[in-house]
Amino acid sequence: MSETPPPFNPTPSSASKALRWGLVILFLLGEFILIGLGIRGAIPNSDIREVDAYSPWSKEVIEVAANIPVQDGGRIKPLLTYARFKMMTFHGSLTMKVKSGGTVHKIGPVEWYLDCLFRPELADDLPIFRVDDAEILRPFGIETEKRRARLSFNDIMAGGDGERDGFALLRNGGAELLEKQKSAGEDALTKKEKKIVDFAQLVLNYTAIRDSLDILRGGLPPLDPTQLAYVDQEIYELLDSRLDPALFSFWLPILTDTYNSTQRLDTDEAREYEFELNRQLTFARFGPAWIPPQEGEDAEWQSIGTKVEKFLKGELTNSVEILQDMQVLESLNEAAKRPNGEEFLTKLTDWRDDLNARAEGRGEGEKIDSEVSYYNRNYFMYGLVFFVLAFLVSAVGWLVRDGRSGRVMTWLTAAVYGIGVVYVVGGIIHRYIITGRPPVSNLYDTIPFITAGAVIILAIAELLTRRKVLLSLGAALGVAGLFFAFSFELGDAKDNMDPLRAVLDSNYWLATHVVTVTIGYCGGLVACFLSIVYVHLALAGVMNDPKSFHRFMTRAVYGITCFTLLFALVGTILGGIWANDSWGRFWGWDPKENGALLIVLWSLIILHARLAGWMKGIGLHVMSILGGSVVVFSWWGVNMLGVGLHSYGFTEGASTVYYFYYVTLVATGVGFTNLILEKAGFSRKT
Amino acid sequence: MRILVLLATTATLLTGCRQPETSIKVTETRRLTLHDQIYPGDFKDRPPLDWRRLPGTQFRLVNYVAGKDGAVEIVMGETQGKVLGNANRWLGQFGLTPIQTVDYLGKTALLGRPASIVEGSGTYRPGMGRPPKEDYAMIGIIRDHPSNLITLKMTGPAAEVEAQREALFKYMQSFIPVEVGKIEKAGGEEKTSE
Amino acid sequence: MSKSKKKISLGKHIFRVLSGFELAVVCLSLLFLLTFFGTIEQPWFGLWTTIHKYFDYESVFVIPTRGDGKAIFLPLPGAYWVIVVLSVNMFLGGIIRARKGWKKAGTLVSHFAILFLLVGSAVSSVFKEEGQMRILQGEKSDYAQKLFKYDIEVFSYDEDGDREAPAIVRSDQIKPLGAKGSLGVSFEKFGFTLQIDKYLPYSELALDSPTSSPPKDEEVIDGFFLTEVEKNVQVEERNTPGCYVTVKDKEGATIQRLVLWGGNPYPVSFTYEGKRYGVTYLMEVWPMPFMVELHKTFGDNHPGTEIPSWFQSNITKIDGSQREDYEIVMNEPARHGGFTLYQAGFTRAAEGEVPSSTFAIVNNPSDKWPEYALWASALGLLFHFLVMLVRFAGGSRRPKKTVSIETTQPQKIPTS
Repeated sequence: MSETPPPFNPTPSSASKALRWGLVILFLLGEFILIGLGIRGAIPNSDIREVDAYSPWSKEVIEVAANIPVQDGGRIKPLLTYARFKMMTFHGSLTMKVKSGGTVHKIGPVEWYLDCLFRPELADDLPIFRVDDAEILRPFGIETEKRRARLSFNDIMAGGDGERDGFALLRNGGAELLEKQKSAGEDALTKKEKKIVDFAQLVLNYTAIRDSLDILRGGLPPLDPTQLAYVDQEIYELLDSRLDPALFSFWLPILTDTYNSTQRLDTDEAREYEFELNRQLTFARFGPAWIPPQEGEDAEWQSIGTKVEKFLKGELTNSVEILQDMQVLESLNEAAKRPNGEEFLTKLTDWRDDLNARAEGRGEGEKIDSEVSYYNRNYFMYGLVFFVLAFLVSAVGWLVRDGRSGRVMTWLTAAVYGIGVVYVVGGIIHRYIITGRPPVSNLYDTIPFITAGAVIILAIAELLTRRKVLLSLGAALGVAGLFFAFSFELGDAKDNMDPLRAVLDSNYWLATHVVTVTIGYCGGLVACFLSIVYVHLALAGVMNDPKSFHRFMTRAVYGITCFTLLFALVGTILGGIWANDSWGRFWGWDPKENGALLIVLWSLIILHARLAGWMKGIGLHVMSILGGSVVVFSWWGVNMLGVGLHSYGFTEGASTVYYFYYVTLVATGVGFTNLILEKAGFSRKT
Repeated sequence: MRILVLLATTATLLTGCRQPETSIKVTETRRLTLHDQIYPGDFKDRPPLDWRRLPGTQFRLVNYVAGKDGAVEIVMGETQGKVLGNANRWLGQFGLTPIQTVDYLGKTALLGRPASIVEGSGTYRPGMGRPPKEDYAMIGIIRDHPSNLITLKMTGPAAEVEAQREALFKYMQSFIPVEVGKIEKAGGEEKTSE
Repeated sequence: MSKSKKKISLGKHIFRVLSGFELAVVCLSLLFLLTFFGTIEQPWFGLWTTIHKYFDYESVFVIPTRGDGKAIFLPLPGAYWVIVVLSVNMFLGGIIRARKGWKKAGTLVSHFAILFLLVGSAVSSVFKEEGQMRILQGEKSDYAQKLFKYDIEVFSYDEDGDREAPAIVRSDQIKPLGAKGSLGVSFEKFGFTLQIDKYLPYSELALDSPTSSPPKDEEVIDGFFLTEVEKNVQVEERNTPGCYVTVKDKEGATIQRLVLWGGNPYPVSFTYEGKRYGVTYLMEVWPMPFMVELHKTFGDNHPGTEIPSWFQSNITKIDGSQREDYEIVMNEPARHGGFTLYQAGFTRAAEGEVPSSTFAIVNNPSDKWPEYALWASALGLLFHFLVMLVRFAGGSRRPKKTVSIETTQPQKIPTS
């Protein structure tokens, strides 16, 4: 077998070399950024809205509120998590900046949710709705300055056609389109119309949240109880005259009669009263499910509204508890008028402690504090920061020669990199502690896991071989992966720690199959990026010792391909065994299964082609780059097909995936250029 | 060895390339299972030999035709409402005066509950766009039940309906409720696990 | 590859080709393309159609197409046959021709394991039987039904009105007919014959009424007729076949013309020589050698959601005089005597109704083979790659710069 010709390497001179280094780095960075273009959404808007009456909640209040237990998505979680994902669906981001009296305030999820619950008029002024294409709101009279805008509810109300306000128009417009879709099918609406429907629904959801505690705000029209036909002296005495008749809790003892009565007294006051009563009750169902069940009830926590409803149906045994809870909440609402006063903080703390005690009594909610600290620690954000630092330090390290300063830079890089790794891994472990599930249980989980895998693999490779480029690549991948994790979470806006469907909820197979396949994805991507870096550096001819570099990189990529094969193959077969055990068929040519098989086949092709003598040198790298696209197809592309058992996530964000394919194509082009130049005899003296 | 096996299998499979058969002789059978004991409405019926069973529909649990050219229809179904309402509906199809009370109707029993007999003859107007039929008759039985009435109705040319009258009542008495597949409680002890 | 002057025998040449890396790469590449196209076609044509098109042993050549039928690639050989060739190649090349020695043990074991897996697949594709058994809580069943295989069953009724053992016309015999074909069926145990025609794989049974009248020359039998409908690619189970049947006596005279539809749960009937017969078109009934009693089926949702967190059935399996209790939970099937019962689905009951459970029953002799193959291949690969890793780590460190060995490299200008 003949020697492979040494790769392309121009005669070095320092100026041209520096220039080429610069070009290469620019090119590589450019490609990375191109992939990032698809995930623009993570970049927060810099507009700061002026909201006059805004006063921030105190730190203590936020801390207490964050820990309040709430049931959602099938588990007990802290209010922080609940508010967080709610804010993501509306705002696409976790911070909102407003200006009041010259000061800029940053509003986070808990603060925003507290505003919705306790300061609804203020909440209406906050620019909570993120709109990507404000054109869709024109027909409803809602005007904005820019296409991508952040609107408050009042902005929407301010629209309209003179007769009806913007919200009414939007709601009706959305309802009409929905009807059209129902009768004429999915494809009856244009893309724009679908956006209108989605946005209208979003605004409706907001009003549901905001009005869910109307039931605590009083506001019932004045009514002499004796005006109600079913109220006689006995019943009248049930009403506690110490309480305020504008409050819902005042009427609780006779609520059953009110609700079930078919007799209506024909006075305007009575009608007005019953209308408002029903309205408050309807919206109260959408409040946070923070009331634990009573003895002998189902496992469901409920909102105060649902609880009252059950009481009305006679399904509850302990109505005293509801009354107490409602009165506590009413006084909380009252105290919120002075949001940073002692009273509110005390009452909020009492409420939280009471709920926690009740949860504990049921053996629930032990992980609340842990979960709050998970989000507060912001592992992935810090990991991202440290990887950025690591990359910069390692870049400086390239410029420094070997020797003492070289070693210092290497250690510094390793240290900063190491901290980044600790953060990523720490975040994954903490998630595991909270959920009790293996680290990869859904699509979101794969992102930090693959990032962690990539940075660890490259760190190990660096340890074994002492090639600086590996650590730089590792840091870059760490940045890219964690950045992607953020943007996916924001776009997805779903709580990924929620429990799984029964079919998927089997810890043994999850731990083995999913983790193994994910490690396989990781390997395929690391090989791809290594090859991308290699072909660019080779084309630019910037390495000091090209032959050795070539041999090293080729062996590294080959080795990682073998690693990928091992994990992808084992993971795929494990998946088949899981499927066979669960529903009796080992292999169903399901898109996700096929995706994993494609990776296995691709790796096998590389290995066997090499043995056949068809793929030495650059050929391997070109195949490995394309292999990255195969991995991305299997990881994301198959979910976009919307077919099969595995279609459980991510149908938007397609643009990111296509950008990735595009980048690999460009890199493949670079690789081919190398190949052609090689064949044309452009081998330089080494 | 392997190659030979593979080649042989390949050859047989490829030659299995389908030419549709034009005639076959069936010898295959299977043992009887609980599937062979299912009946619509959970009762077994034994119709006369000259009644032919048709596919059921949403409204027809049981659907037979009899007589010359299958002109007589015997249909059994479940319906809501009251006996009186249904009886009057049937009478209305023959243009007959509605009755005020079920006491006017003949009595019998169907599947263990009291039932009323409704009869009529004349021009049959089935409604729903179908053409009217002259010289038709109807014998119907409505089984009373608080929520779910069962109706058995025979309609057809008057002479043929009369010819089938006895067969209809004999058919009605042939019903045996079946509880296919219920787990027998052996001596009062049923296995229930938590 | 150097051409040897010595003439090699044809047999040896064939062996070289069949066992070579080149063939492996070709087969793997073809399989890659087939899997890729067999995946992206699924949103257009549905899972079953695409699988049948690409991976069934009946398909010898495949042309990848898009939704509108336009070809998007060159014709490729069918995946089943590529795998057959690949298996041959794996056996001859990966096991027989491969170099032996403890260093190569890993790849040998892996190749063998994968072959074993593929053979297991072939075995299961021929011998595997699967069906569904649906039982209401408090009831029992001794049969399953095989989805997508519709048989015509003909049986006689005895004097008590009970059915007797049926004669079965299998779906494989009916399917090839198509709308124009016709099949004559005679029975070993009956005197009459059947003529089956106008077979429609996707159909609906309709009643001839003023609001729904049949197309012009559609045959109406007893007020019923069959209409062809579009194939449901998303939910394959909803596709119901139908056909027409003529019952003829010994002389060939028509006794009765019937319309059969797979969605009718109960038979139609005709009379012949003083005996009553039933005809039904149904999903193949697969009698079980045991009886399953469903005592309780229950499950729960994650609180506050509609997402099932688990579901379980408590059953007793009765085999002759032996009774055995099982708890079948999602992901934990019950295995007994070659049959595996899976909890495939369950329906919760509304008020006053009884919940039911659906079990998937599989009889697959090669059921455990993939598991064995997994362990073997994993160990083999792991061993092989560890050997390679050791070699790699030894030879990839950066050459130390203490002594300059590259004498041809021009001196660097110090300031770079």
